[in-house]
Amino acid sequence: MVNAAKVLQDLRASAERKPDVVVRLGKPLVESGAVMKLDADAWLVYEQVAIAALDVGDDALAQKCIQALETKFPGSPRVRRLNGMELEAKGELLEAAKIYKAILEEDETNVLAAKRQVMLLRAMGMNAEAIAALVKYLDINYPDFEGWLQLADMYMEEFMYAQAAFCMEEVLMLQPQNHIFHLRYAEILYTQDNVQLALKQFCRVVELCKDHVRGLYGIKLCTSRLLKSSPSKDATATSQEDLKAIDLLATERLLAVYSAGSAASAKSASTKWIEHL
Amino acid sequence: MSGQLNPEDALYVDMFIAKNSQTMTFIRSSYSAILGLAAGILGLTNWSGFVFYFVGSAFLSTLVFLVKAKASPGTYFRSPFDVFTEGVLGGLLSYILFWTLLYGIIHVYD
Amino acid sequence: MLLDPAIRNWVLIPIMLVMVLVGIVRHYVTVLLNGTPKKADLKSARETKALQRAAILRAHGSHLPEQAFQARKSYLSEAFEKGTYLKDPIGSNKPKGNLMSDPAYVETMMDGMKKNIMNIVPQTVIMGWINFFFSGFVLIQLPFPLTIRFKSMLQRGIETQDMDVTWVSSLSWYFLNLFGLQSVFTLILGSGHAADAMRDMQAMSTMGMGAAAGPQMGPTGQPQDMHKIFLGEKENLDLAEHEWGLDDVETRLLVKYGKKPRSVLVDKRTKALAAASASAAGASSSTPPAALAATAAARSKKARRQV
Repeated sequence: MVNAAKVLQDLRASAERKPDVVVRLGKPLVESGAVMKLDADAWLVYEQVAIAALDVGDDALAQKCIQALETKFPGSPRVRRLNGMELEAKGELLEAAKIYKAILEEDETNVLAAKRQVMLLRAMGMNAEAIAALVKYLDINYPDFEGWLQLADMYMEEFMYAQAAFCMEEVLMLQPQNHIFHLRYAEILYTQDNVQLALKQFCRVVELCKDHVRGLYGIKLCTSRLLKSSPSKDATATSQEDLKAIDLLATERLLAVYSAGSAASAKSASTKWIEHL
Repeated sequence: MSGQLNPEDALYVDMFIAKNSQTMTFIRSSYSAILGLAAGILGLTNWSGFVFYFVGSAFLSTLVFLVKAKASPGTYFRSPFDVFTEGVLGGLLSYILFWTLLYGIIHVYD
Repeated sequence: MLLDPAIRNWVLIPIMLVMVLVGIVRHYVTVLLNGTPKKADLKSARETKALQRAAILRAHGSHLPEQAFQARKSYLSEAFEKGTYLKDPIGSNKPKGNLMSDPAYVETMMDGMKKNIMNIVPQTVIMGWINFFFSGFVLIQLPFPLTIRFKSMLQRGIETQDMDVTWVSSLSWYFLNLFGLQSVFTLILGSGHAADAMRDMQAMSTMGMGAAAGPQMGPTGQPQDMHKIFLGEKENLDLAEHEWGLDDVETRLLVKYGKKPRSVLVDKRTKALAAASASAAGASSSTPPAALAATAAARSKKARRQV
């Protein structure tokens, strides 16, 4: 039991979403009542298992956890948010909306309720309202990079690439060391046809994470397009010589990555395809 | 690390740095207390006592440096010298306390 | 052999024990007194976050392309000047006179006072207790020597002229414990415990620092003028220059994989800086070329070490 508690605690700290693990470890704890031995942590575990149970569809388990929390903390906004999530899982979206609205009326800074409200609007398909609500939330809670990520996602659904690029820029400022965010930004730039800038970003991705395959593919796409078009007069643009060098480098690295440990047939197929990029 | 735009700050996750400092302080304070007990029992006085502390402290730092930080403290702390300097002063105070306590109990009293 | 063991049993250990217990009790009482964390005010939070925004832009702006950076810079400058992020817009003049009527201010005052009380009271009580019961005799010998000046402080109540400074009274044992038990408390209560004397001494000098709730307080206890702060931040922003970190990322990448020699980076850096200085020669705010060349040399050295 101690091991399970430790794993759950680590998952809480790292904020990873692994509902199957949580349910597998947490279910016996909750059902046997052994979770109460964890004292203060017990309630955190209840909350964690409740959310995970909703994720995997185990409504009964979720109900049990939420019930326990309600008995201990009646009227708490944190528990009411869980109630809202339960209703969302059952599909009663309007009821859930009412709960979140009530929480926000009591305490307008409640981050959890505000976030759930945005996602609720998205689930109901009201994308425009969801975007408006999220923008309002981010105006107040600027450093929430996950919020910015979510907003970028929503803009991309609406094909509003310029705004999505803006959101990714904010994310980059908040989390500059994460190469995945650079990658997403690069791909948005490429979609906007801003190939020169996209190339630089793809290079950054590979710089941060050596031999990142998606980054290398991005480089290849950009360089092949830039080499085909006429050389730009812009001083900041990459020189032809550099372009060719980078192109060669990307090809070489891709071949290296794919040839390491793959079957001969796969190797020849991938080689052919890479050289035609 | 190569490819840095900003000073290496961008690479450091704040939470981990804080956790590492906390662990370092924890190790050092427990170690200093025990070292103080040892110094008191041994009956060290004056300079030998302080030298004992700093030598012991350096020994601990080297151990952490080699075993836990695997000789690359730059990956665990902002500055590689943090391994040697983190929590030394706080440790010194508790060292003095326990040193005085044990010295008193064993050498001054019956 | 030198001192009566009864002193050890009835003074040395009890004082230490009492201090440890009082520290633990103080921690729990502070937790109880603080009660539920206060609700953060939406507008105040927004104010602080806006400032953070500018700081982040300045710190990490090098990751963004030029236009993005400039766009944000101009937007934030304008916003700070117009006061869009202020809690109380500039037009409405809140009477600055009677501060006691502002409930949030009073709350932060109470907070600071509570904290101070929780620290001063136990300290004073214990000191009084020790002075009353345990004065007038030598308690322990310090294993290290101190200068004569400490004699009057450490041997209070023992009127001797010639005794070694190493022999001290109970009050000095109290001080020894006060400082030495800090780390012990950290071990027992986990970090951030309420019995941290070092933190108290810092807190005493910056009284009334509100946390998430309440308006911002300056070191003097006066509510800070957010507008002035915003203007200051705006100036910082205006001065901030954009150095795009991705300018020579292709070259860096080629160097990283060994396709190009490292010297290429150094040359490019000096060339870029020389070009910058040539173009900035006409601009108003420019440093003399000599100084720029010196910084260029220093920077190229740094680049070499960094890569």
